[in-house]
Amino acid sequence: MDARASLQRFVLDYLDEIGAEIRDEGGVHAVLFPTGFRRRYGRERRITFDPEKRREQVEVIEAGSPFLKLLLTDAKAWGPLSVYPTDAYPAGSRFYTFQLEAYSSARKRTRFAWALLEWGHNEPVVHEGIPPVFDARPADAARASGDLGDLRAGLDVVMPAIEGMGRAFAQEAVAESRDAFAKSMERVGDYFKSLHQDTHLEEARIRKRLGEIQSKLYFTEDGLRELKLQREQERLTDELHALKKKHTQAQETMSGERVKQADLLRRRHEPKLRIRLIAATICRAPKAARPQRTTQATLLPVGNSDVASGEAAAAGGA
Amino acid sequence: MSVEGLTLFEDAPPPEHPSRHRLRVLAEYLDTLEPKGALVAVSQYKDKISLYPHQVNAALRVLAKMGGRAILGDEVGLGKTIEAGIVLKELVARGLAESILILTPANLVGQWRVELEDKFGEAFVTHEDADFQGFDAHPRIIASIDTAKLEENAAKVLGRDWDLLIVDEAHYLKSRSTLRYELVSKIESKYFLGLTATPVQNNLRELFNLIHLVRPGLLGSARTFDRRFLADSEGRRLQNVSELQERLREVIIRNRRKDTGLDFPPRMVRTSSAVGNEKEYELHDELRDFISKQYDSMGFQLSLLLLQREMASSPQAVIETLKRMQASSEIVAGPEIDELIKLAESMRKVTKADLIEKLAKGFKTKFLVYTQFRRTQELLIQRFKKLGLNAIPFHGELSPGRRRNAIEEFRQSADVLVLTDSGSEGLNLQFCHVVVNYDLPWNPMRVEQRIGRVHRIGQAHDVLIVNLSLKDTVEDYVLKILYDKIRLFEVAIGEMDLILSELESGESLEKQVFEILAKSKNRATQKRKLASLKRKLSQGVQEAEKVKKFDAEVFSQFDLGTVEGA
Repeated sequence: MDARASLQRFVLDYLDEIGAEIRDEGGVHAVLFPTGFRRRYGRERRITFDPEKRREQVEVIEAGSPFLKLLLTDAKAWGPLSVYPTDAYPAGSRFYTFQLEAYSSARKRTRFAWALLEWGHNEPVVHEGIPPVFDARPADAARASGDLGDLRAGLDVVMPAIEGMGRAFAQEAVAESRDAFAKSMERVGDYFKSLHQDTHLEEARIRKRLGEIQSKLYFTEDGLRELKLQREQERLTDELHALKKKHTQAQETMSGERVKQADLLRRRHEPKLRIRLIAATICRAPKAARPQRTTQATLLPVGNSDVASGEAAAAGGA
Repeated sequence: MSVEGLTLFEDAPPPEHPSRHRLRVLAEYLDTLEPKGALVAVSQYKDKISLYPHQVNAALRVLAKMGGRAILGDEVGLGKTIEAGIVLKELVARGLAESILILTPANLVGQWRVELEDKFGEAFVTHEDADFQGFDAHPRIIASIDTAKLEENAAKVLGRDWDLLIVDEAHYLKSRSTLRYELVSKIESKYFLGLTATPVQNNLRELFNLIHLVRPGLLGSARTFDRRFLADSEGRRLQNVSELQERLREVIIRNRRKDTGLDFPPRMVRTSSAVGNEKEYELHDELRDFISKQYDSMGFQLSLLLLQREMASSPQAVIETLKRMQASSEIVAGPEIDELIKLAESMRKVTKADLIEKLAKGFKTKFLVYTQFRRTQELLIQRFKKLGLNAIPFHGELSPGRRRNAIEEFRQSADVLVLTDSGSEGLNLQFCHVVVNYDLPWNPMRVEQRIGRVHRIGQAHDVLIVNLSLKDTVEDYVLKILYDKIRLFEVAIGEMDLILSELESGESLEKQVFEILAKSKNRATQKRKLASLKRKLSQGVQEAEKVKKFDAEVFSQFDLGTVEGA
């Protein structure tokens, strides 16, 4: 799906939905908001989808633009369940839209997926992306009630397939996390190894000196020198003893510390997969067309629309 | 693996209109698209400001994830104003904000103007300007929120659309029953930033009120908020914390010092007092009597307040004001003023100037000296030059170019910068860490602004603050009793406002002190009244402590920062 085209379609459809007036002035759209939305969006805005038309007081709608963010937030507060008019699938078919997020320690990956449970079928079909039925505006805007119990039950049928898809999608994150964890552990290992080496080097230095003293003591005939060497030998023996003790303590601490570090790293690098159901939809025949099959969907009375109810509608459910 | 959203059915929402349902799905998808660019205007100010990652991240999040409507709730001293400035600049640069209204407490109006002009190159008019023609007459206005809420102004504020509304110290909007809240809730603006270091002060409903301004409905109605998120009827304990955090992340940014690694070095305070000479005390007594007499007959006059403060500075400063009074028709006391001028002119020795000379010899580093008066500034420059020190004056009458040169010379080669308060707001002098208060303003915010020039992000040394006073004078009392009580010199940057706001008095501390001094017929009354003010200040300090503690307790349960890994 072309992102820019999708954005444009979304924004214009959204503005139309809330009853905003839009005037196209050669690629720049002047939008006049209905009264109930003015505290939220202001009275009037000028927007464009073409970055080349960027100028004073004209907001370019692109990913990250503040106005788009407002609209997205408000649209996301609208209902996740619907009885949807479409000819694409038999009435009573259900489809579920999911957002999959795989986290490695390095990055987050996002993918959308949807599962179709066609009327009369027990096996779901899963696809990447969002359902193509949402590419265009619905065939009619009538709000209908439906058997949500049936919709709920269908979810249990599609979940295993979606989880399977999620796991496959998360493989890359798992591998990335595993590599990052291994690298981190290697660094931790090197660090503790160097600490061990430092202690061993110090011990070796003292032992070497003790050997030298031992040898000198063997050959010396000078009483005073012998005394001096003996004192140094005693001092070094004490030092070696203290070093060994310290070494043993440090070993214990380091081993505890190492376990702690490894645990910390494991948690930090643990890959995660999050599956979010963002919408569940049950199909019905468009209002004008004759239904293919009988469904439980019932059209609500005309006039139930709350399009003009202003801010409460925009923020509703938030 | 976690699976979410299955509760959609448990809440059993009614089926949605097909068109809205479709838009919801599209919105979920489009909301995951990554923005292409970062900040487009950053090149215009990056040389003037040291930007920190948490500030840039905060601004990006406000713009890209919060729709330009947010509460900037960083802990004090992390640069909320900078964050707001980045967002403002970005909206201006993208051509999205032309009409901008900034509402602040009265004492911060000037500071906001200086910061935005000096750091971001964005000019504003303020309601204090002589050429201010009303809230409907200028595209960009900085004003005191209390001025804006006045009936005649409120109508003009509400009568137009604003692109961007910024409310500083937004905790003043904690209660829905106030005129301030009513005004802000009615202003129509596309973008909104509320700045506060203490989003909650007494109970959690204040948080609801604040969020309701930014994103009405995000936390439900007041009743559903109570039911869902409050664990007690007093509104002091939370429940469903993780759900609340998710919602708050959509509107609040709260960076903590410990997460940013930008903790401030400690402040060390030294007070140097000296016994004055006979003539100095004589001048003090005579001036006190004169002010008291004038106050009895004419009531409060700015010139009397000025004189009272100049007493603590230098005879030179006093002489100038007395001469001005003599020339004006305001005060009829010719012979008395003549006597006072003669007395001041006869003074050859200025004890505090001698004291600072001694101190200056001991400093092994650059230092700042603050005075409130130009005449005292001249006196000090002369004294320092006699000592062989390279002393640079800095005051509000210098042109922008000369100000820049003065600061640059101080940074490069000079020993001491002698500043008056006017014109020094917004300076970044963190390359220096010694501040001498030659005389003290009675407005604690001003004192904090002085210290804030050096005790700010980027300061690498402990900051030394030296206060000078003449023993047994009014300033000695104010310094030791009042300022010590509110720990003026020690509290973290930004906390002073919290303490002072707890005084809840219509009058500034400065005016309260002056009135006590001028109204008291004798020293005993003066002391009694000052002791009562001290008690009020103590209460203010205690209240501020409580507020800080409660706010910290509440926000310790959330992670709303913008620092990676925090």
